[in-house]
Amino acid sequence: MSRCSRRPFLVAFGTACLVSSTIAFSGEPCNPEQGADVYANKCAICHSVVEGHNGVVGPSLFGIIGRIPARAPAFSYSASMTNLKDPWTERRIDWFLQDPPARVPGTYMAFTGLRDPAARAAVVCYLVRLTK
Amino acid sequence: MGERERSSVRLSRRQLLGAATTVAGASLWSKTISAAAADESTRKLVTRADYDVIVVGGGFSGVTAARDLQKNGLRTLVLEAKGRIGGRTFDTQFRGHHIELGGTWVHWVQPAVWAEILRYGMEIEETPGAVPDQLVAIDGEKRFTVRSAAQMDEINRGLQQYFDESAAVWERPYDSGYRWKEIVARDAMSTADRLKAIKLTPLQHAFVVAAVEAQSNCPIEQTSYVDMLRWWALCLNSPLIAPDALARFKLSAGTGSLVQKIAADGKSEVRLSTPVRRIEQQGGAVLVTPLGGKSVSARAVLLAVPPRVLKDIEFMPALSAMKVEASRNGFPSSGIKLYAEVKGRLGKQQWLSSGKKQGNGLFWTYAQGENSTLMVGFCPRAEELDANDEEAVQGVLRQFEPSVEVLACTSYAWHRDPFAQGTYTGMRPGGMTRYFTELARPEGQIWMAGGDIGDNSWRGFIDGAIARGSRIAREISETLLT
Repeated sequence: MSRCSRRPFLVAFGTACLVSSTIAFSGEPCNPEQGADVYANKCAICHSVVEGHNGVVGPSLFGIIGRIPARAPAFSYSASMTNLKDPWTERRIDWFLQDPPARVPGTYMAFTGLRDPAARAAVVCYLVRLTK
Repeated sequence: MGERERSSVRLSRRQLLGAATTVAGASLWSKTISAAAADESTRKLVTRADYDVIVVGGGFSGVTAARDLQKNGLRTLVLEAKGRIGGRTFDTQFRGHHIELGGTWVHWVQPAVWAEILRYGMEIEETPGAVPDQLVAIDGEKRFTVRSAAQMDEINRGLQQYFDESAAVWERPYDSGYRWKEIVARDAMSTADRLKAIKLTPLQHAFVVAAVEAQSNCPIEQTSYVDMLRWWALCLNSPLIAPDALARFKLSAGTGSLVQKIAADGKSEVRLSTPVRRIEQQGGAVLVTPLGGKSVSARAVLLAVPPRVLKDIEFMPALSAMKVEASRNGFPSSGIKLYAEVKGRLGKQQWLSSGKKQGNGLFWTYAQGENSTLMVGFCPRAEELDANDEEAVQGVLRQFEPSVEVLACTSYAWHRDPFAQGTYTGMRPGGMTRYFTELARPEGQIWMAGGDIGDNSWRGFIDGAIARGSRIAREISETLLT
C-alpha cells in the first residue's frame, strides 16, 4: 500500500476540500481520500458508512469515533465486543485493525487485518471525518 | 449399502425423568414413578413444544429444510447465528463488481441446486476465465503458456491418469455404500499419496496439483484422495465437464438472492443473530437455548451448522464422542478464496501453480472492467497468504504474469469466522471410514444436515447443502407426521 498522497479530498457529502492534517498517534499524514479508498477496498464488502444503515454483515461505521464498542443500532455483536467498555479512539481503531480476531478474541469480525500502518492511518482518518 | 439406516436412540430412564421433572415438578423424581407416568409427562412436553422443528443454521441446507418442513405443515423456526442467512455463501460488492466470497458456481449436473434455479426462475452468467484464451501453469522453475491443443491433451491425459480410479470407486457417487469396500481400501490415502503412484509430466503436475488443491481448498497432503475421486466422478469422470461444472456458471443475482427466495417461499420464522449455545433433549422434545436468549422447544431439531462448529455447542446428553472428534479433527485446515483487481484488460486468463517455487494457487478471470481485470482465486494455505495485502497477492500473481499490478484485493476470512471456522473442504485421509457415517447419524430427536454431511453426491457444494436439507426434512416429516 502506497503512502497517503496529499491530494485534496472532495468530501463525500459535497462541500469543501479538507486540508490534510496528521494522525496524532502515528504521525502519518491524514488523507481522507486515501482512507476512502482503503475503506472501499477493505471494509465496504461488509460495512456501511451510512448513518442508521448497517452493512451486509457489519455495523455502520458512521460516527464510530468516540462511540462505545458494540453500540451501533440494530446490530448484534459478539459478547467479546459487547464487553469492551472504552470508546473507540483513533488509536484503539488502529490497534484493533491490525488483527481483529486476535485483538478481541471471540469477535464475529472475520477479517485478517490491515498490516500496513499507512493504510490503517488513512482509514482511521476517513472514519474521523465521517464522525465530524 | 446406501446411507446407513437411521438408528433411533432410545431415551434412557433418566432422560424421561428429566422431562417429567420439567413438566410436572420434582415430585416425579419419586422412585415409584411408573413408566406410564413418564410416558404421559413426555407426551405433555412434546405437545407443549413451541415448534415442531427448530432448524439450527440458516445456510442453504437449513433454509431449504425449513421450507420443506413448513410446507409439510410442520411449524418451523430457523435460528441463525449471523445477521444474514446464506451460511458459507456471501455475495457483496467490491469496486463495482458483484462478487461471491463463499460458494459460487452451479451447473445442471448438480441436480438439487439446478432444480431450485428452475423453480425460482434464476438466471445464470458465465465466469470468463473458466474457458480461458490463455492458460499459464507453473511447476517449480518451469513455466508453461498453454496455447495448443496438444498441450491441452497432455493436461487432460494427466487428469485422467490421476483420477483413473474414480469411475470404479464411485460408480454411484451419490451412494458411498455401493462400492464401500473400494472406498475403505483407499481411505488412508491423501491426494498427495496418489501422486506417488503415477507419473506426470511437469505440465500435468502443475495442473493436477493446483486443480486438486483448489477443489479441496486445502494443501494436497491434508485431504482425502478417495473423497476427491468422488468430485471427479460427479463431473462424469470427464476433464471436459469438470471446468464447467466447478467454475463456470454463477447466479446473476447472486447466491443471496436464491437463498432469500427459498426462505420467502418457506415462510418459516427466521431469527437472525441468534447463535445457539445449548441443545438439550428432554423426553422426546428438544430445548434449544440461544446465547443470551430465552430457550425454545420443539419436537425435533435439524442441525445444519458446519461440522467444525458442532464442538462449540453444548449438547445434553452429549453428542457422540466420534461426532465431536470429527468436529475437531475430521476436516483439514481450509485455504482462502480471494479477489484481486489488476490493471489492464487481461482477457480470459487461467493461472495455476503447484507451489514448488512460490505460493500455490489457481486463479482465473472473474470479470473485466474498462481498464482492469478482476481475478478470482484459491490459495490452499490461508495462514500463509495475507489476502488483504496487495503486495503479497501481487507477489503470487507475478509468477504467472510478471508485469501484473494489483490495484486492490479482498477476501473473507472464513477460517476466522466463529460460525464457519473454514470454507468447504474434503475430509482428512481416513475420514470416510472414521467419521462419514457417524456424522450423518441422528441422535434422538436431533437430525444431522448441512452441506458437508451424508451421501448428497455434491457434498461440499451448494447443491449438497440443498440436497441434504431437503432429504432430512422429509425424514423428519415422515417421523413427526406418522
